[in-house]
Amino acid sequence: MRRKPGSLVPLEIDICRLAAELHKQGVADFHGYEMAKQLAASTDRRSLAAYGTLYRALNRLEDMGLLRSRWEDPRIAAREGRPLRRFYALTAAGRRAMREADSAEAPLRRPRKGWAPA
Amino acid sequence: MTRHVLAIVIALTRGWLRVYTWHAPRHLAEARSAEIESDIWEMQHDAGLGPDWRRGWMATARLIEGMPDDIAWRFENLAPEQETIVRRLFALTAATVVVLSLWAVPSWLINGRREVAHCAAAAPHPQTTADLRLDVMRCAGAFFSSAR
Repeated sequence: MRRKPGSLVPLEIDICRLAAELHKQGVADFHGYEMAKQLAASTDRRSLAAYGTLYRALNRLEDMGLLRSRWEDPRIAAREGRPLRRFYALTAAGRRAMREADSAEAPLRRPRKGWAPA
Repeated sequence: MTRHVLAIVIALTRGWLRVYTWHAPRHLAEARSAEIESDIWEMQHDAGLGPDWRRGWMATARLIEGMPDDIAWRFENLAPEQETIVRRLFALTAATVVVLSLWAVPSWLINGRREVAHCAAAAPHPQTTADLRLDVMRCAGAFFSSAR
């Protein structure tokens, strides 16, 4: 079933909430694997989010303007001998949406007009 | 042994990645490949995940469970010329289904009518109204006869 434009699925809501919590803890951005671990820890699941599911959700949130991404400095990755990481951070629109979701009585399923997809 | 299993699963993940990003817009394919490679590396070097057998199981689950979303992502990121091809394929498939239905249904109806006509011709002349009703019901059932 095709979802309505601007609506979020539960995974995307969880990603935004965890991103907001990380932001409160002073962690400005995160990479995909880190988010997978956070999701597993928050839901007490033993397995990590699937590759396709997680990265499609992250891409979609970025397209909606709730997250922004950047690639890390290649020199850092080269120095540490690992592939480049892509970091995501919650945008102001994303933080506002999560504040509204926290204060709303019903669980967030349909975003208000203020943060419609870009 | 379990280390080989993990290596095989990682190879399958990379292979699947190449399949569903085949002919995808280059910048998207490269970005997705780089992200997955980074994720694979992180998982291989995460001491908190436990033994290799657990990593292998987790990697397998992550690969298989994510396949529908990988396919959906691919269809969401078609190149403009590919969109036209996919739309035409869908239209062609839909047209084929409609034509086959138009051919199959009348064919079924014609055969059914023929059976009813044969049944009516073979039935003896009804003596009573009850006989007539029985003949009508029997010949109506001939429409759906499996003998056709």
